[in-house]
Amino acid sequence: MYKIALCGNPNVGKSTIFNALTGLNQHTGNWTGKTVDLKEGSFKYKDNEYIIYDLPGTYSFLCHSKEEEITRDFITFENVDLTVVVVDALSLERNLNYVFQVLEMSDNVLLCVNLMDEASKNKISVNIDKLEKMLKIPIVGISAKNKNDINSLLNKIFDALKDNACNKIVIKYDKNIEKTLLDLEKIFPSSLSSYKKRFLSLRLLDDDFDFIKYIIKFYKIDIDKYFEIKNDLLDIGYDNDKIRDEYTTVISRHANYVARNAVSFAKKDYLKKAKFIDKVLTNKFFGLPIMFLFFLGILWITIVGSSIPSSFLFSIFNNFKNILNDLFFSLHLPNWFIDFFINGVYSVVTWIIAVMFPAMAIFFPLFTFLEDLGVLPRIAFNLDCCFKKCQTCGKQALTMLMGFGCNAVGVVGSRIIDSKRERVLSILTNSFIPCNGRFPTLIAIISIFIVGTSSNVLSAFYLGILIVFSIIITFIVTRILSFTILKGKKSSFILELPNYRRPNVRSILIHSFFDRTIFILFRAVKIAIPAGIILYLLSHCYFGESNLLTIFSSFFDPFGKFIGLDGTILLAFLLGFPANEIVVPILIMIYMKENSMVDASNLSFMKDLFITNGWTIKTALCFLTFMLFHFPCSTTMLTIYSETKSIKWTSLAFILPFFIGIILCLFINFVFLFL
Amino acid sequence: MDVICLELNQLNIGKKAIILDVLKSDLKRRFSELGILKGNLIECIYESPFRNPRAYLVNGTFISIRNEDAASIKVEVI
Repeated sequence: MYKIALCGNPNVGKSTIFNALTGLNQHTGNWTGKTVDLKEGSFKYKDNEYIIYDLPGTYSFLCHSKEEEITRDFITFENVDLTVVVVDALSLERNLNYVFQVLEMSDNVLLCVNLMDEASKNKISVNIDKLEKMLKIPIVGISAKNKNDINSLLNKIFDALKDNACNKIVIKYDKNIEKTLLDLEKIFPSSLSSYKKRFLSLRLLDDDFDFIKYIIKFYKIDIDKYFEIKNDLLDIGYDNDKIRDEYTTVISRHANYVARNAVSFAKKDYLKKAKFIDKVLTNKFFGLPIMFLFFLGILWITIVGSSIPSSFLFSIFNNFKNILNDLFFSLHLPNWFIDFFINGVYSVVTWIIAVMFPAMAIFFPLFTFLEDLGVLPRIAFNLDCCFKKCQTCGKQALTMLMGFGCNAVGVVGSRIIDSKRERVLSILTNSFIPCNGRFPTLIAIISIFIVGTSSNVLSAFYLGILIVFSIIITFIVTRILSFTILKGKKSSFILELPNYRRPNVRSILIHSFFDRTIFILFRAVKIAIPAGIILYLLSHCYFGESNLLTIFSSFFDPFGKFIGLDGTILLAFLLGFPANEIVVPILIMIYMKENSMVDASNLSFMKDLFITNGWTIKTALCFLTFMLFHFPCSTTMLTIYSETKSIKWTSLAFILPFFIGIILCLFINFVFLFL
Repeated sequence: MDVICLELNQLNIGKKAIILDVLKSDLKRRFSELGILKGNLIECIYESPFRNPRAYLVNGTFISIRNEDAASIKVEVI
């Protein structure tokens, strides 16, 4: 069995290759010893088994970011049999800078030049043979979409592992640095390969002090000797800046030389098309409206498109429920258990799956499509200025956009934000954005109480107002937070706007399914089980005439009335903690004094029920506000904790929207006093 | 012909320039890994609807830089 590491710059099609190689045989595992999630997958080729690790994409190893450290540590210390570096044929020069840095770390590197088809379409030709001769490592040119090309990559990997190919290229720096490196290599244990010694010595000259400390401890380096050698270099004027400059210049000179010799451009402006599209998308007048329409289109497709598969799932689950009932009955299981399992656990879990799954299975592939197409960075680019005013950056626009699909995904997506402070801001404010699970409820209440008829256009208009309102609140809260408890310098917004690319359907489906839909659904179901049990117990435990649900409702009633709602609504929100979708079914269930959740498909029935329970236009407005701003659902809470690993931020994420919701409801009540 | 030296944020859209120096040291690394290095060619290609940030073409890729950060890059117009 062979271990392979896959690395490269961002936006070079690394994950497409990973998906093509492993297909469904992949999962996100924890890298032992470190709290880092790494994607790993396995495949077979010519009777050999391979495990491949998808390392985070970075531009270089110069910035000491967390992703760079993960990649560096994995390649240098995990004893991989082969490191496959993926590069973009269209911007080979920049990519070669990265390749040269990897070549210093590992002596078994295979270079995979991806997007050869895009390059030839743009009349850029990359001479693989020449490249192979200059770099002295195995190189294969492919386009990841092409099945034959994936085969030739597999073949190349097979050959490289069989021949035990190692690279012999050594980049030389100026003579003073070379002399120091020679001295430093001597202080390492002699058993170490000369290759590794050189790499570690180079790192000792760098200014990543955590890594230097680690090297010194791990290899038991004589610290005095190390400082003596380093000080000698310092004495002749080589401070950290100068060493760093020498390092980057030499590497970029090499990259430039190789690229100049191996790449030829026939067409003059191959970026003309991308420039044209960008000029439209970032136009002063059309840019923002076009993006807004895009976004509305996605929401519309999701809301309309998910209702049919959702009711289909409901009917399947319902049929299966009867089968299950009969089965349990024939097994002579006790009646109370059958009722408890089917009406308690089974119905809540399947309810959540039926309402959540179709919406996410539509929204996330669409979102991933835009992501792979290359549109998302342009959205961040267009909106950066607004976010800068809140001391954050345009990437938060993207996490907000993900939040419309599911807040938990938005929270995970905040990883794209480099600065820790800005990432926490984005995580804390993500639940202000109404997710898929809240849209059907918002629309139902709007059409019953505000529009009055079932006019879709008017409902959509009011929904739009609510969305804009939630975005405004997000901005205000972000700004307040970044001037109070999350004070700090705003980071820069240096972002690559990658070339447009035709997305690969298979890769989209795998990515949106595995990393988003299934991931969220699994977390939701895990919490739905205990929630179902609690709901069942509350509705079946009677004290005198009324069950616990009614008792709790009347307990919450004074506070509920105080903020313009009622006790039952508050209880429904509390019990709907696992998923916003089940708030209304629980509400109807309590109002009707039923023992299990009731479907709310009939709007006029819902209207009558709510009005007999004392709802007015004020209740509806407060309900809508509270639906937008209350504690995040349990799945999101779990995700916030696993992303921040901080009880402080997790509890703040709970309290903040809840508090704002209460304040806004009180404000609505206040306004109604004067009407 | 006179040599015109500017900060990158003053470079007009559609104009090309040679990078002379990157002043702000905390961004130097981030710039250098994207190919924004002394001696390289850079072109301002378009701006966002609010005129900040702007997009530049370096080494065959589009890169977005805020004007306040671009001010630390000295260029020579060609």
